[in-house]
Amino acid sequence: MSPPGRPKGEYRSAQHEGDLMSPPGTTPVIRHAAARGAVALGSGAVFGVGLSVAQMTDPRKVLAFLDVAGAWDASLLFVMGGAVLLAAAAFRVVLRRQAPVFDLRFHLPIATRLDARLVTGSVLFGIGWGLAGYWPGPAFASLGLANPEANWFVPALVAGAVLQRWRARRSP
Amino acid sequence: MARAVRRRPDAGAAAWQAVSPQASPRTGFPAWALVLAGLLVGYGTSMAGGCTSHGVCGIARFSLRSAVATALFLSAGIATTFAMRHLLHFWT
Repeated sequence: MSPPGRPKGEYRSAQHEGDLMSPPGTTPVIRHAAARGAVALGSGAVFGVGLSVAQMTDPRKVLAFLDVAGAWDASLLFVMGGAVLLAAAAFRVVLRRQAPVFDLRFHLPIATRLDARLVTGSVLFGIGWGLAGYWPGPAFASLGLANPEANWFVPALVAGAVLQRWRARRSP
Repeated sequence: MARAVRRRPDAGAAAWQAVSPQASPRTGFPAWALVLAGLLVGYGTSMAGGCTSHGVCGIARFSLRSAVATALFLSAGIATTFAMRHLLHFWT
């Protein structure tokens, strides 16, 4: 059962937990679905271009950054530092708004406690990162660069995330 | 549109590759290491709540959780690279 008079451009989603203004028992509705998709596509494209211009899609470059005892390559530090500075400035401006343009409220993390999940997850991720030289962003960008390594890495990445979610649902 | 994003999350890089070809991909890296690393990265980022979400977005919002997560995954990455290259000599 959907709420009457659903505006044009909205579609149903059973999973989305974002801007649900529908009464309980009705089908949730996502507002501005097309605009949100366009923003996601644009953001992803900018992120992908940024990563490949900065050569962060080259695992040799990434491992050269992590190899502090070898021929250290500081590139990643500047990429990440630049991104953090720009994001910090942008967050200050954007978060002054009451809500995003295409959503009813911001969805910022609410957790503040340093828990075991954060620690264990970060360490496991770091081990995988140091092993092959990819983190999720460049791994997906590498698909677009026709890098054959992505054909091994990306399915394993998805499988790992699915396994974690499945285990978390069974024993929260 | 959302479906297009899911289908081609790599659109930006693909466009860039057409404009300016990247260095040729690494060769000879063992597939088992790619699969093991992929599983660890997928499991770990899902459990810890992100990678760029902590390292860029979280730090930019001065989140303590994100600063801790970033310090941990950086340290683990440096330690793993050191072990693989300088202790075990798996690859250079």
